[in-house]
Amino acid sequence: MIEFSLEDDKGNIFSLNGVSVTNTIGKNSLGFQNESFNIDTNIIEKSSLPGSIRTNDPRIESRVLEFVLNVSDPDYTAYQSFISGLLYNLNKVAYLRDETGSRRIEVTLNNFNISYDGGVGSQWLSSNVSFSLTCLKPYWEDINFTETNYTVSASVTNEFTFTNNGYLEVQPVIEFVVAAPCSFFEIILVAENDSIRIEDPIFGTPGNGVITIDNEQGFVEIDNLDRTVYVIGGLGFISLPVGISDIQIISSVAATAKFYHRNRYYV
Amino acid sequence: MSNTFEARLISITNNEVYRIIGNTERGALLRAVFNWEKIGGLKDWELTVNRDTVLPFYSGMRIDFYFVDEIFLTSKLIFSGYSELIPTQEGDFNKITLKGKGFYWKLGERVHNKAYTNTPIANIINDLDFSGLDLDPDEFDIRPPSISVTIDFRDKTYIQIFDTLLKIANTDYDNNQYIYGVNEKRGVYFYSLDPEIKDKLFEDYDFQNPSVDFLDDVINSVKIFRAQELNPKETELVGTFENTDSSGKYGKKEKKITFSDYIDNNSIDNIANFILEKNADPSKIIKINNFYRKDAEIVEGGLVFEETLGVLDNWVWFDQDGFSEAVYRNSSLNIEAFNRILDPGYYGVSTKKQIKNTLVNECDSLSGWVVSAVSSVVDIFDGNVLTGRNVIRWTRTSNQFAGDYIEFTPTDIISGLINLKISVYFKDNVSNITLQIFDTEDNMYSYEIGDYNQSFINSWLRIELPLDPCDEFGLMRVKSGTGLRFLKVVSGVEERPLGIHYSCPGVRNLKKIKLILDTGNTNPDEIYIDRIEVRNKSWGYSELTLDKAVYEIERNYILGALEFGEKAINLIDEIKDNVAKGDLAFDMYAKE
Repeated sequence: MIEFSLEDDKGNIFSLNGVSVTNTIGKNSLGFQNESFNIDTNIIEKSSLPGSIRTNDPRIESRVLEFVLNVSDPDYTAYQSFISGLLYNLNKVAYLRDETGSRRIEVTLNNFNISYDGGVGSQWLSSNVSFSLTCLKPYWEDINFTETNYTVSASVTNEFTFTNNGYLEVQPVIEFVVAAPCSFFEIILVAENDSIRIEDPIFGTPGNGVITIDNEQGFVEIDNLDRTVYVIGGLGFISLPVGISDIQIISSVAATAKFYHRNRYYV
Repeated sequence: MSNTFEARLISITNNEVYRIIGNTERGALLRAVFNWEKIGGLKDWELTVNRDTVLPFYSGMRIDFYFVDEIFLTSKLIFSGYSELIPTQEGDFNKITLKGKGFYWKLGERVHNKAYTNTPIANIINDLDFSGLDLDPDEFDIRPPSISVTIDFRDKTYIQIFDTLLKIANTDYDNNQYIYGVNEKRGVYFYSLDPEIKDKLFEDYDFQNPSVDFLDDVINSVKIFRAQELNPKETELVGTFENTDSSGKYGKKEKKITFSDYIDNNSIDNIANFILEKNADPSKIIKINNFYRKDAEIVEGGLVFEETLGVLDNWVWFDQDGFSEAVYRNSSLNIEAFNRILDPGYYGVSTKKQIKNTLVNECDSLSGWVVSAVSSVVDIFDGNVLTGRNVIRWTRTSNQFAGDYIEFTPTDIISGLINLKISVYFKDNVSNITLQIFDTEDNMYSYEIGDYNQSFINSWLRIELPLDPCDEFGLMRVKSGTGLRFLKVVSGVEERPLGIHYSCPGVRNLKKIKLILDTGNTNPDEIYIDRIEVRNKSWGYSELTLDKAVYEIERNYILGALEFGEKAINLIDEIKDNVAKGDLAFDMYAKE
């Protein structure tokens, strides 16, 4: 059985099923029934020749996961507490976690329905619950980061490989650490001929030796100070494809580059 | 705990009389919308509140709008305006919308009549009477250029006066762009924009689905008329001012403008320079909706004043388990959450990475080219043009090789190269030009155009050079040394492979392009060069001023609709406009 739980933006975990769930029936009744993927792609039929053309790169849209849960407890106080607790945690959910596979997916509550069993007097004891979660990011990702470190020599083209073991491209968080003023550095994806280049006048000066590039959120910072304006115009945040990629790093001074990413999966 | 939004009603004696707070039950603020423009500042606003809200409201009442940090109880004034009509409370609707304007419009409520002789712009502004307009002189920021003006203002509102002075101040528009308006502290401002890029915004991160347009608003010839100095009811032609570079590219596009005041010749020159510089090329406008940035992180839990640091603004957060987050939050850092209201200035706007054709140089003029010509002459020629209105013409005057070259460095580095296209015409004799592409690491890619192959004589060669790192089989090209590539050359209407050429790109981006003239067989010898462009995959990057913004605030988040770049200025013919309004009567609009 796959154990699912909810995680909020503070890292608090609420189990949906599995042995840690105290409700006697609910803990094994969680059902995950359907899911689908909607692909945003623009297709135009040709005027006279057979077939069609696609005018954009396919993009997976946000999608919905639907769950059902049977909840019942002979003590109605316990039943109420469980339902209220479930709604409380669903309301503030940031991630749905697959504890068995150590994966998570970014979600938000879409709707929540309670269908009570029985007639008068049996309310607050038993019900079928169904809820759906909208996946803000339509892919699962590892709960834990994969960290890859590179030692960069100054003023030469340093060549490395990066491994993405997931099934979708990733946008890593990169920490670039120097011990001296660094007038520029550039991280290059060779096969894509893509790169991000930073020329920040304070990077490497005392107290400013670590710069963070968050390719997923789209910002650059030194010690909570936003430095996004120093991304060279025409270049921007990078995505690393599935598999092994050749990357090059060029820096005006010696450095250590740390890449943090989570592998991503469709299911 | 989160940031919230407040509207504070201010009485005529400068006292706060009521506060509408966004996330409360009583008088809750449901929605607010602000329209802001680079010239003028806040133009208008509206607030939607619960119907049951009892507000001590009157027409013309000042309202200050704040973002408030509920943790540090710091607040930032973001806009200030005044109300218009008091909304009716009759009807079945459950909310009320209050509407009002920015203090910019107060400048339109005062009329000025005065002549100035050789007076600095700053002195003219300081001579205006701003009393009674509910503005704060302590917050004025008046820093115009040191230009003196002779001008006779007749029945002009302060807005009309500022508009005219702004045109004069913007004479060097490309290098110094001046703006004016009324800021959130009700201070009049007149200064030039800081040329440093304030921030960089990226599609998919900061905004979605932008629209990018080029407007056909070129003006390269201006006929300017003005009221006569001694007989202000008559007009006179001051002169016709032209930008020949622009008309060379786009054809002549002329506008007429008539000033109903007398303005001195130097000031007319300055105005003409402004118009011609600003409208030399089509405007690029980028409109973005759904500009949204996440709130700064606020950690729930207690907060403790870090006494050992001895600095009032440093706080240490403890989470609910009592462990220090080890995150020091300077109170001013929280203001980051407020940076969704953008200041006027230049922004780097990047639209999503796409494959596109990027024009490197149209070769319609030598502007931006570095020319080193000893055994040749380089000029612009409007005959035998392939695209645009002109070509670069290179005429050999000696058979000796002197290393003559021309080179061009684009404003921005062009990355994600796929191929480069250039068109060359050898007239009456095919010699050779060496094309060199340099990247940011000074790697160089070289290609010979022409190669003394006389089959290319007297026809346009459209040369396409693959520059991407992978070949047609998806395999990586050899990064250095030799390699094979087939080149596609189009001569006339036939496409045929030239043959095998041993070279590899080795360049990651295009920083500079250089063309070197080899020796020739005959003298003279003419070569035409037209349209250099690349096909590349990269962010679409533009450095533009923030022109307009509409901010919509609900609960504790803001969505912005922003417009970068500028439409054509409103060159109204003042005479016609004023006659239409009935302010002035002229015997003739314009006389040549």
